[in-house]
Amino acid sequence: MTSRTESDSITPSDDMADVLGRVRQLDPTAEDAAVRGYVREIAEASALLDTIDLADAPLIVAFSPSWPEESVR
Amino acid sequence: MSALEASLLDLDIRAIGDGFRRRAWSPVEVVQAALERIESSEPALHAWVLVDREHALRAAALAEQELGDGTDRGPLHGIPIGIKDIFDVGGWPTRCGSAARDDVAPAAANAASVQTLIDGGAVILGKTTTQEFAAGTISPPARNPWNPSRIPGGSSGGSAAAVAAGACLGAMGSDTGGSIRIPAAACGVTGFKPAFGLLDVAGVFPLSWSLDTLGPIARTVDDTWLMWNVLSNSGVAVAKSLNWDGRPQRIGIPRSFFFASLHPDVRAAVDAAIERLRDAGVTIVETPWPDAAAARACGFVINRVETAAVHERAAIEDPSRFSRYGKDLRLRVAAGRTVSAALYLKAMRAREVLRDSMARLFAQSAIDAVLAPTLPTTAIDAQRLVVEGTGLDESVGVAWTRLTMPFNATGQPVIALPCGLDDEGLPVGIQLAGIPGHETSLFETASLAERALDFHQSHAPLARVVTDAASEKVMP
Repeated sequence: MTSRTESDSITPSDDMADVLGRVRQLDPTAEDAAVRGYVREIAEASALLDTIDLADAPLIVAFSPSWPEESVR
Repeated sequence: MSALEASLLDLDIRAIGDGFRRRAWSPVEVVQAALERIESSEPALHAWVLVDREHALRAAALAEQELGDGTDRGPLHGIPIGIKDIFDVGGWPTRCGSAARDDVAPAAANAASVQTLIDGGAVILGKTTTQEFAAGTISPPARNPWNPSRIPGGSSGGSAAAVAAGACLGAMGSDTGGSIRIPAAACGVTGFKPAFGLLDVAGVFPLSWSLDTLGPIARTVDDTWLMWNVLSNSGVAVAKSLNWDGRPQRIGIPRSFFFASLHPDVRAAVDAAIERLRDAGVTIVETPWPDAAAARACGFVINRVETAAVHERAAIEDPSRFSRYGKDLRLRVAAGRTVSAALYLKAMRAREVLRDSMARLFAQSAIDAVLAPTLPTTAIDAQRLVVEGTGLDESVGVAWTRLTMPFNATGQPVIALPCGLDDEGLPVGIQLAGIPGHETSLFETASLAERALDFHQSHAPLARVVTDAASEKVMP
C-alpha cells in the first residue's frame, strides 16, 4: 500500500501459491506480479491496523459517523 | 455560442438564479450555452458519456415556464447539472464506465439523489465519465481542462472536468476513497464529501457500501453549498449565504502524515495557503494525528473486500461478462475474495476507534476543521501515468488516495477546494475535514478559506471564452 520497492516476502510462498490459485479461479489472466503486489498491500495494511488497540472496540459493528456529544466544540 | 451565452457560464449559481428571476436571461439560454460549451470542449475533454440535448432543452423550457407562472423550486431551478454515470437516471443506461455494461437496459427510475435535484428544479444535461465502477483515480478517457494532456483524477473525473470547463454549473460525484475530492483538486474546483450515511445511495451502483458517499462538485464553495442544501433537503440555502460571521476559527494541521512525501510545488502552495489563512485571522494549530496511516489502511481493507463482494457473484455467474472488466478491476475482485474475514472485521472494529480518535483530536485542540493537501501531486500525464516528485515509488491509485482515504475511514464530512497553481499552471488543492452534523460550520470555514485564498475566480484555460464586452453586459 505504500511503496512498490518493498520486500515481496511478506507472504510465505505456500500461502502465495494458494492465493494465486484462488485468484485465477476467477481471473485466469491475473499476472503473478500483480497478485503479489495486491497481497503485499493487504499485508502492509494489516500491519498498520495492528497498531490500533481494539480492546475497547465493539465486537459487533454498526458504524455511525456521529461523534460523542462531549467531543463537539 | 454568443458572447453573452458564453459569459453566463462564468457566473455562479446564485447570480444566474438572480438573473432568471429578474428575467435578464432564461434557463433555456443558460442550458443552451452549456450544451454549446459541451460541444466545443468535448473533443478535448471526453467528460461526458451521454448528453441528451432535447431532454435538457425541454426541462429548461419547463423551468422557464414554471418561473413565469410563479413556481420557484429554489436555488437550482433551471441550473444545468451533470450526473456521474454510476447514478441511475430514468430512461438512460447506467454503464458505470464499464464495457461489461455496454448493453445494459436504461434505468427504470432516478436515483434518490437525482430525483431530489430534479424536484429542486435542476436541469440534468447528461451523464459524466467515471472510472470503471468508480474504482480508480484516472477516469479514462476524460482529460483535464487545465491541460488536456493530463488526467482529471477520479473516479468522478468527468464531473469535475465538466464543471471546470464551464460545461455545467454543478455535477454529482461519489466518494469512497476520495473520488469527489481527488478530481476536484486535480481540476481546480470544489467538492464536498458528506459524512457517511447522510445522503440516500439508492439507485447508485455501489463500490464499498460501508464507505460510499455521494456529493456535489461545483466551481465555488457557495455553489457547492447550494447544491448540498437541495440534496440534503435542508432548505437553508435560499435564506443563508455563507458569509463568515467573525467567529474565531481554529484549523488544525496534522502535518506528520499529510505533509510527508508531497511534490515540492504542492507543499509550497499548501504552506502558502496556510499562511494566507493565518493572515485572514484564522488560528492555525499543529494537531498531530498518529492514527492517520492506520485510518488509511482501514479504509483500504474495507474498500478492497467490499468491492470484491459487490462484483463476485456476477463474476462467477457470467465469466464472459467479467472478462470485459478492465484488468485492474478484475484483479481487485478476484484478489479481494482472498482477504481474510478476520482482517475485514479488524478493519471494521478499528474504524470505531479511529473515528473516536479523530473526535478527541478536535475536542482537545478545540478546532473547527483539520486542513491537509488533497493530493500529493498535481494532475499527471495521461499517457505516462507516473507519479513523480514525491520521493516514493507509488502507483497513481495508491498515491492519489493516500491523503483522502483516512477521512473515508473516519466518516467525517470533507470539503476539497483549490488553493493555487503549480509551476506548470496546474491546480493544487486542500481539503478541510469537519465534524459530522456540523456541515454548515464546515462550509462557513471553507467559505472563509476560499476568500482568503482567492482562487475561485480562476478558470481553466478551456473555460476561458468570455469577452470583456460580454462580461460587462451580464455581471450584476
